[in-house]
Amino acid sequence: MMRVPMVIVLGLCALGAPLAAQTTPLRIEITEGVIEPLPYAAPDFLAENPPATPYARDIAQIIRADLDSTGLFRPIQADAFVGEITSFSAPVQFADWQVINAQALLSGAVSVGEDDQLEVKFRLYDVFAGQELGSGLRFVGPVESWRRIAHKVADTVYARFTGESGYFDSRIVFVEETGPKDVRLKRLAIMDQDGANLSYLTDTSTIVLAPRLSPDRAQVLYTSYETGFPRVALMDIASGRHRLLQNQPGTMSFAPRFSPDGRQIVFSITRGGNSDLYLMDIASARTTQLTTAPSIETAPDFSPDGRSIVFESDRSGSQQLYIMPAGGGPAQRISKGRGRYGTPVWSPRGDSIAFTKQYQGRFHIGVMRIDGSEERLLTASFLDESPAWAPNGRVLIFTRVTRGTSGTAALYSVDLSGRNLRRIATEAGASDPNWSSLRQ
Amino acid sequence: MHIGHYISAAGHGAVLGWALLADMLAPPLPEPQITPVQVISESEFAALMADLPSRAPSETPAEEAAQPLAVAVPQIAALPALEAVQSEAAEDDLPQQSSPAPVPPTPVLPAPPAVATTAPPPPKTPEAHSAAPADIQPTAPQSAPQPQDNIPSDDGARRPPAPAQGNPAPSNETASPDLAVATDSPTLEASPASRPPASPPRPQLRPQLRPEPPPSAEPEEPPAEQPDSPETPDPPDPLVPEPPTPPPSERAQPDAETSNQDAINAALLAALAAPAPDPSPAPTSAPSGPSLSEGERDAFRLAVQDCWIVDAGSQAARVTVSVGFSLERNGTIANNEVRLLSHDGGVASDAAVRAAFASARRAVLRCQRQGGYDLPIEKYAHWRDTELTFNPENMRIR
Repeated sequence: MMRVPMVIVLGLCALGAPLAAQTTPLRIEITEGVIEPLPYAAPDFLAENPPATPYARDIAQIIRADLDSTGLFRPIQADAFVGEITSFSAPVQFADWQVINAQALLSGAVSVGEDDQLEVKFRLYDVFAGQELGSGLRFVGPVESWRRIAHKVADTVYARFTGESGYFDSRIVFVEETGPKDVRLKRLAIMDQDGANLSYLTDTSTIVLAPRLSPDRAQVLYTSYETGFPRVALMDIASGRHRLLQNQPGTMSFAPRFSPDGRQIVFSITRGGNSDLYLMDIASARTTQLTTAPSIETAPDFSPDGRSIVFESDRSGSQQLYIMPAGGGPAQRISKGRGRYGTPVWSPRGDSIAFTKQYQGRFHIGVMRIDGSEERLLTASFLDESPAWAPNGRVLIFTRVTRGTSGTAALYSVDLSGRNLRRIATEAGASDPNWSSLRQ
Repeated sequence: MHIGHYISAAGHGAVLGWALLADMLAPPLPEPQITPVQVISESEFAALMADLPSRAPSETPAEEAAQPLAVAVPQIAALPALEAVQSEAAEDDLPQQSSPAPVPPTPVLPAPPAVATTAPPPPKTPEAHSAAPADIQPTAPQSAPQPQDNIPSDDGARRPPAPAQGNPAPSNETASPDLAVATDSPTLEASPASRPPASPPRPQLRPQLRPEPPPSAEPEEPPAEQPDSPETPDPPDPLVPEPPTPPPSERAQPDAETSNQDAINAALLAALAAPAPDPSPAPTSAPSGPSLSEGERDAFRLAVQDCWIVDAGSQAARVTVSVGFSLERNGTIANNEVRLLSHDGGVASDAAVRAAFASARRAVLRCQRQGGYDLPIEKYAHWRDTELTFNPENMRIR
């Protein structure tokens, strides 16, 4: 008698269970990962004709060096390779790269045309997904620009993995320092971000400070002592010609910065012991005073949208950071911690500000949100100062000075996360770095 | 012309005639034997049975026929036969089962030889692969497109002006236009490279470490898996006695007190057992059988997160992505296909979302390479379709 109901029950269960199985996936939340460089393989590029042979090798080396410098990527040594790229157009045997745990594979080929045009093409693969990451690209340029082409490739790889623009095809202007500390010679220098292609913009006859590149990288602002007093100067990099933008007797001008559109500069002028901020239209030389406080206001910097200016002031009794409208007006203090804050620079991302902080006898490079929250100190040393952002807002470059009479200044970079502190190789001492925008 | 009709009429006539006359031609039926019976109480029956010598269950068809309902369901849960089968087939890949697998007993015993013969070759470790890459090379590269043919030959139109970026000349201490030109002169042009080559045949990352059960072993599926496939045989009919009767020691002892209602309740409990609590918002329905334990979920989570490389300073670290995929029974991602289900990153750019998804996908795909995720096969219905949410909130820099 009871067999029939049981059959029905079991039948219903058997019919219902498959539907349930199809509608309930396993759901798990992953909240912890690992922070380590992403291993990738970038074999030397293929030379498609004999003249391209040295470039094929060197370009791959530049790319690897660029990516390695970020601390986010780790190139796998070639002697660990199982597979080999023998043809740019051949299908990739992903298993060969998976077995060495390469998460990405970069393959490329180089050729040199009869007109000395270098053609570099490459593909980036997500090895474990077994598919290409983005489309293949090629760059064409004069053979002399092979390093730039390599940086371009590295920028593309970086962007495809991080979702952010790269910063390898950029330049750094800085002050080179030579000689003893008490008789130090300074001159403006410019180099690629990796230290290559170093050149000098001024000689050592005049003290120069705080160079700042224009957004189009064609000009450089700096503070020159050629008149015996600090004056803001503007140089056209291509021609080497320069002029003083402000030369009123009895004043000093310094700490200049370009506006985001490159048409204006903001800087400090000291009159009678009081320093205030001024805005100057470069074309007309028309100057507008932005602050009138009886305190020292200096080190201004525009926000990326050009609407605000961050600067340092001791109007509260100690050196702190403030933000005010770009046209002047009430300023709001954003630094809230203990210590003295200076040299603020607005991130190209617009969401944070880097600064120098002096606290308990130590100097730090730090970052905070534009409202002063979430302050983080990235470095600590005897003297760290003058931070500047990489064009993508991911890396900071700054000056570190060692202790003692023989102490020297050097350039360092640090990731926004506080990791990957590196010294940037320069031929001599270096200070006051400023990173250019990414070249087009 | 009407031959067919004649044949048909003759045939029908023969059939009708046989139906009408068969009873008259058949021999008379034997006289039926009538045996008198009487109703006895349970205690009387027990006393009567105690006096009889014990017999093998296979020799007691009358008893089995009287107790199928009480036997069927608990008996299924009592046999640990699946362990024996797979331990011989691919013992390295079996999930450690904490309890005997609830499988039907019938097809299990003869299965090992068949499974062993059809099992794939032993799994190759990455080291083994490294030592002999040719062994796991997929098929030879197919004819690939020639990128040169696909690259638009527009060099001439896009060639930059003469090179102006010279090598560094750091010796000159005076400002010189020649030194300064190294900034932006060379114009580089980016253009899509040749069309990507046809994807090679997807390499077999490793042999099938955990082979699909052979057809003969299909009934070995635990009850929780049976609902997965419409083709899965229905549960054993409790009305039919099990052909090979298991030893009495492994069988649930028939209990005269067990009523049919109890058997129904047991079946309901087994079929509709609620899964373990799922912290995520889950649909109201769930696969039958016990779901993954917290320990099993944690093991899965750990396996994935060990491969999840987080770029803590990137914009992608502000994006939470949920990805979905299907898993094969051996724990590998079906077709290596991982889908982006959703993302949450406020004002994060599309590039940041893509980077976050790609990072999650790499984690999922990379950590399966050691033979698939180690998940309990008897709970396959619970993890066949999986959704993982990668939330970097605790890792991003602030």
